[in-house]
This record gives sequence, C-alpha cells and structure tokens, in this order.
Amino acid sequence: MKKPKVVILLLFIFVLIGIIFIPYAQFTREQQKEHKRVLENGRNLVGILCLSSAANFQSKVNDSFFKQLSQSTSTEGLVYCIIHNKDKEPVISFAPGGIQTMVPPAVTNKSLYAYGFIMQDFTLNNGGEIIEFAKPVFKNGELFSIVRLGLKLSHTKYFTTENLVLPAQIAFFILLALIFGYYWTILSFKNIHQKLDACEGVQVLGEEKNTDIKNIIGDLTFYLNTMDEKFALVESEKQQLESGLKINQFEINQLLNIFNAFDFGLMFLDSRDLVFFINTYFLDLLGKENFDVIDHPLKQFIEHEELRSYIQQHSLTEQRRNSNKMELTFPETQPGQFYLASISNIKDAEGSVSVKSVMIQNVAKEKEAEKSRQDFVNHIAHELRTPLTNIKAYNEMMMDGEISNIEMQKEFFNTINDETNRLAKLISSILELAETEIGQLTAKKDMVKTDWVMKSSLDAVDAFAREKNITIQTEFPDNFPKISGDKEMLKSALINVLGNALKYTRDNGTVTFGLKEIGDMAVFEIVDTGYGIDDNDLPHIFEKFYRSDNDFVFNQEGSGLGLAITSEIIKIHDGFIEVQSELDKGSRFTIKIPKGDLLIG
Amino acid sequence: MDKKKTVLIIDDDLHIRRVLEIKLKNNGYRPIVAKNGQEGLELLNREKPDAVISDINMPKLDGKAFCLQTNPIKEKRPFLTIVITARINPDEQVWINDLKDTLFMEKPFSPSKIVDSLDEYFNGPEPG
Repeated sequence: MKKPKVVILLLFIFVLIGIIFIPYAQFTREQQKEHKRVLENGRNLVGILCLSSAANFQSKVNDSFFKQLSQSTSTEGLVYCIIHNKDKEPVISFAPGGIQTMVPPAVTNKSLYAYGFIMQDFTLNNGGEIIEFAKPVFKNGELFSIVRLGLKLSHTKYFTTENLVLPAQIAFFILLALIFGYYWTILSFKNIHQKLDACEGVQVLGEEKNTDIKNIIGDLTFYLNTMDEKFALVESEKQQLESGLKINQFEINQLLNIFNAFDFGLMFLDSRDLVFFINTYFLDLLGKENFDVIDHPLKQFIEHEELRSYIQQHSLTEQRRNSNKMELTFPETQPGQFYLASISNIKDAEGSVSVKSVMIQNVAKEKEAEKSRQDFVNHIAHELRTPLTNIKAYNEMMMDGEISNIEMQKEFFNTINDETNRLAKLISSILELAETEIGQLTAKKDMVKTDWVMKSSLDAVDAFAREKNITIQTEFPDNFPKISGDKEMLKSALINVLGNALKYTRDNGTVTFGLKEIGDMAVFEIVDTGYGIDDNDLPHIFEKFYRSDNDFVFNQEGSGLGLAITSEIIKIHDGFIEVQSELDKGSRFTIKIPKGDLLIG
Repeated sequence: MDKKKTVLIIDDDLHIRRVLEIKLKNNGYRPIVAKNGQEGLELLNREKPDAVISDINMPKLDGKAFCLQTNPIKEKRPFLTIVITARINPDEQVWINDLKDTLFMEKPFSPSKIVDSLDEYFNGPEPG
C-alpha cells in the first residue's frame, strides 16, 4: 500500500517543479528579449539625440522635448537625460531631483571621457538597475557636447498568464491521467469481483465467453485455495518450530544449570577467544560477574597472567586433548589451594573445531594425598634406616677393634641386638599396616563374639601389665553382643590401644577395659591413668609415624604406626574411634563398632 | 697436636649419639651432644664447636631448620656441618648445596667415613 503513495507524491513534486521552472524559463527568455530591445532603443535614441537641436544647444529645450522623449521610452522608463557641454558641465538635464548624485562617479567619468558611443549597466546609489547610453558630439573635429541617457529596464512579471498556461495545461493532463488511471483500475477490479461473485451462484452460462471466464476464474479460485492451504501449512510448521525452540531452550537451560552445579570451573570460548559461557565456579574463582566476562577479551577479566597466556596459546588446531595441563594457584583463594587447568577443543557436527573449553579444578586434595604419600615414604625410610644405621655403626666399631673394654663390648652387642629387634618389629608393623590397607578389600566378615575378642586381647597384654605391675580392671556386660568383622583384625586393634594404655601408665597404675551397648553399637572403652596426651598432639595421634615432641612420649619405644593401624581397622568395620585426654590424669579411648546381629537381622 | 677440635652431635636417637661420641673421642675430637635442634642451637652458641653432625628428622627443631638458622653464623665463624639424612631426594639436595661448608651423608652411615670427612676438613686432604 505504501508504494503507490510514494509514486503519487513524487509525481506531485515533479508537477510542482514543472510549474515553477517552465514559467521561469519563459520569464528569462522574455527578459533577454526585453533587454535586447532596450539596448537597441537606447542606442537609436542617443543617436537621434546627438543630431537633435538640443545637443547643439541651438534652441532652448522645452518640456515638450522631454515629454516626447518620455513617451518614446515609455516601455523602458526614462530615468534621466543629461547633455553636457565641452567642459563636461551638465547644461541640459532632465532628471527627477538630484539623480546625478545617485549615479556612481565612475559611470560619469567613463561617459564624459569616451571617444564614441558607450553603454554601461550600473546600479544607482538608491538601488535601481540602470543602463546608460552615452555618446559624444563632435563639431569641426572638437568635442562639442555629450549626450547621456539613463534607461530603466522594465520588469517583466514572473507569473504572467502566458507563462502559466503551459504548466497549467501539463498539470491538468497529468491530473486527468491520474484520476482516469485510478478509476480505471478500481473499475476493472470491481468487474472481476462482480464476476467472481456471480460465478459462485450461477451454474450454467450459455455463452462461450462466459465459460472461458468461468474457467479462468475457476483456476484462479483453485490456486487461491491452494495458496491458502499452503499458508495454513506454513503456519502450523512455524508453530511446531516455535514449540521445538522452546523445548531446546529448556534443554539448554537445564544443561547450563548442570554446568553451574559442577564443582570445577568450565568456560567456553569461540574462535576469537571471546567467552560465550562460563559457569559459576569459574566466576567465583575469578571474582567476576557474568557480564564482566561474556564477550569481553580475556585481558579484561583474567588477572592471572599465566592462565591467560595458557588459554591464548592453545590453538584450535591442537589435536591432542588435554595435551598439557597447568597447575596454578590464585592469590585470592585460601593458601594451599592448588588448581589444575586443562583445555580441550570441541568439534561441531561437521568435525571442525570452533570452540575451546577451559576446565579448572581444585586439586588440593590430590596434592595433599601425594604429599602425605611422600611423607609416608620419607618416614618409613627414616624409621627403617635409623636402627639399620645403629646396627651398621656399632658393628663397624666392633670390627675395627675400637672397643676394647669388655663392658663396652657387651653394651655394643646389646645395642646391635636391640636395634635388630626394633627393625624387625618395625618391619612387621609396616607389613601389618599394608595388610590392613589391603584388608579393606580382603577383610573376612564373620560374626565375632565380643567376649572372645576382649579376653584374647587381655591375654596378649597380660605379660606387659605384669611387668609394670599394672592392674587391668574389666567392666564386662551381662550379655556380650556380637559384631560383624574380621576377628584377628579387631583383636589387633584392641591390643594396640590396650598396649598404649599400659605403656603410658606409670608402674603400679590402673587401666580399665570395658564394653557396653549403646543403641546399635558395641562400645569398647579403654581408660588409663597415664600421662595423658597434649592438646597439640591430640588431633594427630592417628596419623602414621606421628611422634610427639613430648620427651616422655618420645623416649618410649614404638613404630608410630600402632594407632594408625587401629584407626584403619575400625574404619574397615564402619566404626569410630574417639579419644579424650587430660594431661597427668590419663586418656579414654572409645571404640564403637556396629553390632553384627543387626546387620544380619 | 694443638687443642682438641670440638664436634657437636645432634641426633634424637640415643644409640647414634653414643656411637658417634665414642668414635670421635677415639679419634682425638671433643664431642658434645644434643637431642634436638633446639638444644643444638644452645650448645652451638655456648661451646662454639668446630664442626656439627646433625640428623634431619628431629622433634622441636629439625635438622633443616637448624642448618638454615646457623648458616649465617658461618660468615664470621666458619665450621663444618655434616647432615645425616635417611633419604636424599632431589629437592633436599638443593637446600644443602646452598649452604656453606655443609656435607651430607646418607643413613646407614659409617662412623669412620664421618671421621675421615672431619679430618679432611681440618687438616686438608690426606697425601697419597
């Protein structure tokens, strides 16, 4: 609907321009003609004036002369006529008051000193456009007088009837054409409409012409109907697509929610290294918001220089996945937090790579595990090599004959013997620990009678208790519960704790060994009246090879593995071990193991 | 022979202290003993020994901390340090290499070797 309006508008503008320009052209042509006529007239008049009596100053110039002059220049308009004598003084002048002052001096000079006819256009000081015709009159070869005639160009009217006729005619025809064209179109459509309407009702048309039209209109209707159907089809497809899009959007949102729930950082970059997705974990790590990151260059939001260059240097053509990982720390995060960054390329459906995915995960736990493994190896090396060193050093001294004193020789042999025993014990402890750790997989789960475990543990430490004259008080329940587990392992765990209780209790002291049921748990309690455990040491006593700085504890023999093994065994049995302690009063170890009948029941 | 050289032995293991004490005495040195780095530091300041034999794994102040703390003293008063380690892993060697007049010896060590090192430090390499 818009196009015809524009065309009509353009047409009107065109007509308007025509109406303005055609009279203008006419006007200029008229003016040129007029100008030419004035020039011719002026030239002739000046010629005549030069021959007239006035120019020879032979008769007195009367008003009728000028009247005649005015009449002959009526179309142009006489402005002035001045006749100068040979001394260039105006002798005869016909001019409304003071016209001479309005004529610029240059014009006067030019007229008065010219040797022949001259003609010049100029503007009066009051603004009027003038043409001056001037001619000197010579008598006997000498200048006698100068005739000057100032004529005004008559103004032709711009919109004269003549000027307007042609454009008006053109405009009229255009308008006529428009109106005619419009109605013609409307009428033809109306015709078809009527015919279409008529055809619907009328079944039979006798004339052949009408049949043809009917056929054509029938075809038209058919095509229109087909088009209608197609439109409906397109519409339903569009709706399907829209609902499909909604499902896709929903799935994408689900996926993004999953990405955001990851406990590692994830970021996707396009081929220009601009981020189009970053998950919450990554944002938290960078301390940024989504809008700081999306579609921004890396430099603007990754302050970590190494990470930035790591991402930038990775090319999309890289074939190997995670070819090199980068370990890094963030100054903003807590110390001891290590992160591992890796990059992989994501291929699209055609197999070309256009997306970089950057993953960053916290590996502090792995690092910690690696460190504790390293520490464990170092500890074992230290613990094994210390007795070995002693054996070697003492033996070397003996062999070199450096020890001649018999008492000293005895001492040396004893040390070698003791250190050999210490080494042997240590090795069996390490083996036991290894077995326990492997035991997580191989532990036999039988029904274990708690009375058997308690009594056999007591038997095992009996000799040691006698040696230190320590009384072991037992607090047995009326009914011993059964627990599910490996009886040898459980026995060994209890012996370790009991042994420690005896070791750290002074001679002639008391140790209590009891069992009770609390809920689903069988609870063993071992209470000593020993030196107690320092608060600094308490959190570490179940660590492998942990040794207190406390001199008393330090000087006690031990592998540093006993409680570590115990805690490992209890863990295998889904139990807990807890310790409460007070310095110089003693310690209370509580071991809770789930009751076995419960498991079976 | 001039005044006996004093050697500070720092080890938490009683037997090692004992055997080194005897070995050094037999070879003309004056041994003094400390049970940990803390005690060692006190003895070092008081007795100004000519050499130190130190274990690494010790309670209170370990051998590494002891060495790092005492290294600046060597600028004014040089002395030999022999570090006895149970296990030398590459990064452990790095800090030892950075120290002045410091050797390391791996466990199980030989007492005679220690005496040889001390002799060499005080008297220069043996001829032949």
